[in-house]
Amino acid sequence: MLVKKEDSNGIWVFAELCGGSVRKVSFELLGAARRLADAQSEKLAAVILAGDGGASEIPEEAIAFGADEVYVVEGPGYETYNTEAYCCAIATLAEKYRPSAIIIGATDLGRDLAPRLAARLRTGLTADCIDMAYNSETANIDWICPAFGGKLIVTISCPDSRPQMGTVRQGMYDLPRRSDARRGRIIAEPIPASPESSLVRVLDTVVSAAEGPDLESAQVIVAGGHGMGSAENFEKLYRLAELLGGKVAASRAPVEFGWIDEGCMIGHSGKSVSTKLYIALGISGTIQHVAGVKSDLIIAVNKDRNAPIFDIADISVVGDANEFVSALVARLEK
Amino acid sequence: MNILVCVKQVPDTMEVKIDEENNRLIRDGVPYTVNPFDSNAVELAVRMKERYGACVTVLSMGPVQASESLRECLAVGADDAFLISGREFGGSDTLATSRVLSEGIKKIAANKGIGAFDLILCGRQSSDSDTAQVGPETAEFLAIPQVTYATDIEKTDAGFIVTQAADGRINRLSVTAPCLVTIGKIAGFPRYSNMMSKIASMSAAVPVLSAEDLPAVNPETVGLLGSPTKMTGMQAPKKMKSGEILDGGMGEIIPRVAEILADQGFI
Repeated sequence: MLVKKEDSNGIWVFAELCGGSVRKVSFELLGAARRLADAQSEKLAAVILAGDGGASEIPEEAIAFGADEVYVVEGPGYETYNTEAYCCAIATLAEKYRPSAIIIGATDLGRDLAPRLAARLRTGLTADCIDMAYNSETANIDWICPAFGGKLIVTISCPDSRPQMGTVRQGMYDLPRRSDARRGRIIAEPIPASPESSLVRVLDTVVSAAEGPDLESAQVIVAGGHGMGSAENFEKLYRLAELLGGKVAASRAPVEFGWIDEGCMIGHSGKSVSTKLYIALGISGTIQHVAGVKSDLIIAVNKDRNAPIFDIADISVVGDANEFVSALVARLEK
Repeated sequence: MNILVCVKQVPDTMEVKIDEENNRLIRDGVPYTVNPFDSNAVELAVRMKERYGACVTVLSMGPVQASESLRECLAVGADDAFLISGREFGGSDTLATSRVLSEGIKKIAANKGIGAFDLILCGRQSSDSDTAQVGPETAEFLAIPQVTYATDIEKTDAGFIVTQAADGRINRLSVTAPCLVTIGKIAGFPRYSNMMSKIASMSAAVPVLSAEDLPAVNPETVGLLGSPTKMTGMQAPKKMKSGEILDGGMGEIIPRVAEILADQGFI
């Protein structure tokens, strides 16, 4: 189905449920999408999928956070996330109501659902946005997202096909003010789950615990790389981390050398962290590593003055990482 | 069992240069490698081949030099490789790329006389554009089920059992064949090629599929013009603070670093 720009109307936010309540990112996006809807004089709708009775008070909550309308699809097959069931239901709604945009949180679920849905609707999708803005000149949404491992920020638009689609990261917007006095329309849409959804079945699910330390919520990380030189030197990082109230992590090389467990690896094939302080010690800063690092303050230590890690560092120390760790530990222990 | 792995060639560098005239990546003189998650996907496919027996095909779409990355895959155990290449496909966004890949996959399966690949693997996302969209979009064009963020796959009679690490949970999913699975972290690391396999891969044929070989692809729906999304702006991200360089001796550096840590309340 191809929908023309002039035939579409309304901005939709997919309200992602997790354990019976809405994920924070979905409410953040309702707030941001409210501003987009006002800028282009369109209505804002939330879309909720849940098992029988599973939507409970969520539609009212979505209205309180800014939605004018809430589409609710409840029934068997929607209790837990299933790509095909969810994609099929939202596509059915989109074909019926022709929204101008569909915005989805860039969670793992959102990034599984959004591309499947975009391809079904034969429309454009922008991944992992950090901002959105209505462009009154083009009458399109400007989707702002990082590219090339965060080296560039690009603006993407979807000028001709509708709906315009984007996934947006959590934490980019403040939660909107909740107003229980707001009024809106709740529209129940009984759509039976697609029969093809049975091709994928969840056998079991566990909260992942054996994934190493919780680096994702650490405020301070002391990360070592190849430049630490040896397993013995690498051990010193634990003392530095202790003194700073942080955790130890690594780039890929120390994991390969067996200095540290894989669950402590940061980067594309490891964990993504968002810290207040990140100290990178003897890490060259490959694009794979820095893609996993977000920090208010980055201190990098490397012998090589041209190491790419210095491109993202606030404080660039040109010198031996091992020597630096010993000297800093001695200083902090004083 | 027939497995196809989609592989993307990506810059192996932090230095990204853009041609200001057409907003395209400057590829000349930049070192390239196989996208790391795609290497994981190839590794998993080769492990499945060793465990269950399978023919592993690798497929890439890109400029002619992307065949080098396909040869790297052949050197670590893939059986054959195909490259989709042509001016018509340049500048394709994820939807257009998936459209082309899905037609290429159908064409290769038809040429092999196998009907369809039992399993299609993609890396979960690429290191240069990071969208994680081409896998699911390709699955949609092929009208087969998808599982994303997989860490392991076992074969069953009717399909596969996929271990998935997503949103802080480990899920085990059963999925029927044919299907498409995107691969994230895997146990261990991709193997390295040895000198013999490397030499053999250098002389291996990597057939190129051009637009003419894929008549099912409507030229108006691919390439820069046929892509629904357009890049309309580009800027360097703002540095949070101007980088300070400390390059004296440790006697000079450590007091300054301690001062910064104290100022920011870390000590």
